[in-house]
Amino acid sequence: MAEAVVDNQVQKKKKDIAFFRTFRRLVKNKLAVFGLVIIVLLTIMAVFAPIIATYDPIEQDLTSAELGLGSEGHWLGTDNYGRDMWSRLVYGARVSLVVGITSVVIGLVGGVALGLLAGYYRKLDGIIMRIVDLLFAFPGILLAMLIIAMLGTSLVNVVIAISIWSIPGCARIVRGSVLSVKKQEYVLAMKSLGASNSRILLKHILPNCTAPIIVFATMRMATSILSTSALSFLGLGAQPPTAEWGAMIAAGQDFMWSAPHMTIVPGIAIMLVVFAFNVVGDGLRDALDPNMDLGK
Amino acid sequence: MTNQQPLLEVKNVKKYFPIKSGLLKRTIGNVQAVENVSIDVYEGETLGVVGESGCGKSTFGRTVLGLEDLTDGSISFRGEEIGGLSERKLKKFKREMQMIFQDPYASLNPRQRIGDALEEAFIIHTDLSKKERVKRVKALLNEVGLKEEYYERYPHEFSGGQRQRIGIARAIALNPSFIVCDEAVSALDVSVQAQIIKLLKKLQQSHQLTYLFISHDLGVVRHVCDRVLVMYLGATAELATSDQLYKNPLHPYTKALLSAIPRPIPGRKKERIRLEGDLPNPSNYPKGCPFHTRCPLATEQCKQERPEWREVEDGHFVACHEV
Repeated sequence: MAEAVVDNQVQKKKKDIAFFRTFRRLVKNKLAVFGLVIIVLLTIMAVFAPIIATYDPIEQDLTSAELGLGSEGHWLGTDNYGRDMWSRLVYGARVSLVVGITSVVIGLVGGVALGLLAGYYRKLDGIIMRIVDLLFAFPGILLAMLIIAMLGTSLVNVVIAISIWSIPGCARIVRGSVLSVKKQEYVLAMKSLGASNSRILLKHILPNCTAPIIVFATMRMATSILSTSALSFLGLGAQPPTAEWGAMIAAGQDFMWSAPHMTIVPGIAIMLVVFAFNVVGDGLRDALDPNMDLGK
Repeated sequence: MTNQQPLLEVKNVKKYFPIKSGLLKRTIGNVQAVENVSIDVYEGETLGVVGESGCGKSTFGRTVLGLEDLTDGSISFRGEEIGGLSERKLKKFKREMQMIFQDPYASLNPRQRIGDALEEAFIIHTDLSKKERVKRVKALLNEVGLKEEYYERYPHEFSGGQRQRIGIARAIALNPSFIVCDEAVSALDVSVQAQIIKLLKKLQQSHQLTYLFISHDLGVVRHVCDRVLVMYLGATAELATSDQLYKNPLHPYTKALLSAIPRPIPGRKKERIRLEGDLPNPSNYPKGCPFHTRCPLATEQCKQERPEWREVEDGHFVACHEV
């Protein structure tokens, strides 16, 4: 009995090690660490927005409009309605993160399902991949605009549009991994045991395709956040007075010369976050690749 | 050793892989991987299948188990036809027929614990409770010479020989009567090979197993098998008991194969029969005897007519015009 308990603990440790191994390898990449820090900060900002923000993000105060950087009480200044830039930035992080995560999750669910089916069933492959090719043929932002034009402008529709746009890329990546995994002998072994197709797909193929999916999801977060901002900038996403980074840039356009921080601050925020997700994705790709030797 | 009632009857089995080309994916030809193989496998025996790489041994094994669709012919197991059955109908036979794979590193899911991997057989085919399944799995691990504690471990924590034991445990989990060992010991080093063969023999005794032992290692086959089938380019060349075959090979291909076994005795050099040329492309199957392109005895007849599969002495079959 005691022996079994000890053995169990040893096992737990071993399981953790597999996770930490990836993490340790990721942490060796300095750029990825920088990205991770930004992502953590972004998440904290989004989660604790009401605590971190110093003002109500949509409360107007026309007496202190267009204050510059470092003004008293408004360290990032105020916009043309006197709204505190810092508070708007903090609440904007919420929008970016929520839209990013939801659209990536929905896109993954659709993409993984299609990719699994296309990769596993040869008969479905042709049909699914042609549809995917069709979606790929549209420039992404145009596709999103088309969907929003049909559904109307709102953040929810932005999520839908970006999700749909995420599906084809994910489907292709998953299909590729499925094609290579399904040729493995353990899949054949399961077939010879008489396992059902759904069992083989979900228990044996999918778990062995996770690495590229994780990398795709991370990279896709960057694209999603950027696209949300782009669509909001064009007036198709978040509507005023919602604090959203792309919309903030759009609002700042007319004040480029009198209050440049109105465009520069959210611009830098978008740039940093997109950069962070990209470098973390890159780092993860290396860390998850067993053939990649990063030294000791 | 062998009863009269064949466990498995294979008749005129063909397995072709179509070659598709062009926009409409029309079939422009076939790779004739298994060409007209007929053989009976008897209860309790070990039937060896030998031949060079690409001669269709593995495809034959997989076709027999229904892992590849049958192109033509019939396969019956205990008198019941199983060739061309749907996945669902085949399921009940899968309890009876199992496979041990060549590569112990590729045949286990790297993200699944050993215990879970072995449990799958019971989940698929029985309605045992979790507790009972675990008990059965632990018994299995014991049976193949592994510790019960290995239940919780992942495949990467094991050596090649241990993994092959796990593969064997998976194959015998449902108490099958027929197991295809597809190069089951080829990937292991010699000392481990011997252990695994010993285990296979022990299990054959205790479970009344019948093996189809696919291998390219003639030394191992001689040691393990009761009867040996020699395949060349998907077709059967010769079938005999191990003793007959090794003492009195009839087919020129078998002779060439046997002369290639390395001999550990210095000074006793036996002349090696060297085959000229390469294996013909199975997508462009030779007319007449498949072996005529490389056969030292080939005549005009061999180029035109396919030799008959005939019994030349008791239980000794050969397909050759010149024997």
